[in-house]
Amino acid sequence: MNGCRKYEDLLARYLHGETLLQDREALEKHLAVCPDCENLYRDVADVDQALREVPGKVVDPPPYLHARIVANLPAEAPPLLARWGRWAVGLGTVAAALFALFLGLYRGDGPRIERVASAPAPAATPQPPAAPGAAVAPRSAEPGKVPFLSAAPGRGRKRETVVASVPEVQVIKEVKIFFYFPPAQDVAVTGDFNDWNADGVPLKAAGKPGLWEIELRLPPGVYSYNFIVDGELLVPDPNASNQMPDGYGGTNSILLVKGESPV
Amino acid sequence: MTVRRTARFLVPLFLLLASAFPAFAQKTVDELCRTHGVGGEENIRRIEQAYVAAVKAGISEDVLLPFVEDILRHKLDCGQMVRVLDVTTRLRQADLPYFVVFSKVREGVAKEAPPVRVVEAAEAKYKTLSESRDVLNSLSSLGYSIRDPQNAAVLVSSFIERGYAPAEIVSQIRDKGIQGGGFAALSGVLENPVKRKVH
Repeated sequence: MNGCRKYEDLLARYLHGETLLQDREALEKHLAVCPDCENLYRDVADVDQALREVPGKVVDPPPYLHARIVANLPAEAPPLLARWGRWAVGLGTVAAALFALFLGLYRGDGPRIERVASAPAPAATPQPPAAPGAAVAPRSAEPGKVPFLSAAPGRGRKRETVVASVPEVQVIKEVKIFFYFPPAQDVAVTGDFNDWNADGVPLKAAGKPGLWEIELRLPPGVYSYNFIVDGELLVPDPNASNQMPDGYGGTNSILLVKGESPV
Repeated sequence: MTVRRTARFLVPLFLLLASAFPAFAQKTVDELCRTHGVGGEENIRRIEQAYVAAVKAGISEDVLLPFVEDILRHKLDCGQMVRVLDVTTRLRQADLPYFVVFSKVREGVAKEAPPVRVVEAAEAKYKTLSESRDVLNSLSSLGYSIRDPQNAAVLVSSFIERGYAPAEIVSQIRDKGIQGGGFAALSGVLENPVKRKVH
């Protein structure tokens, strides 16, 4: 019987398939030769099967159970983030709103709505001078961007280069304007692109006596402009191929910046 | 607990409003009118009504209010102010580039033109832009696809101001295409805004 004792301990594990292979083989050999253990095995198997077939019953926990469990849990301080999280969310929202407000209110002097043909253009930025008649050289405003989408043939007066990139929305072109006026001490240009600012955008000496130049960065469109000579005189560009009456008794030069504004 | 929750919302709200104060500190039309010597409550009310109409039409106050200040500074009277604002409103309602009028008026200010000339120039711009819209509509009906109608409207209006009749512009484009004869400048610019008709 002592030998049977070992197999009795294995029976439960055997029924649940948890015995090792060698134990299972040993138990099966023993059950084949030991009627007592064989009967015990069948009884245990029947009981086990009977227990498995008993329908389960859902028992609701008593109402105080949850409260008792929680009450007996050890006290734990909430992490710093949890304590300040809600405040942080509120302050973060305010910070984001302030930043957006800052961008909206103080982004510069320019208007903040959609740009159209005669909308005030970005501030004209004088660029390094290039000799009149120089070949149009592709260049990009920023590294890694598409540098050159199209170029208009310069007639020694203007050159146009697309410097904006895809998929950025706005197309900006560089337009170079020359003005030959030897008597001038000081020349600026003003027009639709700067809201006809009375000071204008100053031209720089182009290397030859009396020759002035400026490079403007403008979106495609039609721009009227005049030169301001020595702070006073508003004169049209004698080299502009297009001139038109300004409606005030004078003449405007027309700058046609080719290209297609993004729609 | 309730106090803390309330504070959690009120404090950020207060900070937000305090930070936004400069936006509300912008002068009103009423204040601008009084600052620049527009006399009479009725006149100020008319200007305000014209201003509100422009804003309702979709013109941003961020650009409209500085514009109003510019023209008030140029001593346009109430009736002239209303006419200029009415022009911009109608342009906006017609989806035409109202900035052209802004620019035209500021040009007049820069050239120290008499206020009456400034208003006339603004209204003339409205007229040519309306005609240019008709030209573009005609081109569309002929099968030309206008990809950049705002710039195209300004361009065509500049040709109208140079003496081209709207019908002549349509006719030349239809007969010669956009690269025809005296239309070299137009063709050069219209090459992008107006796509060639596909046969």
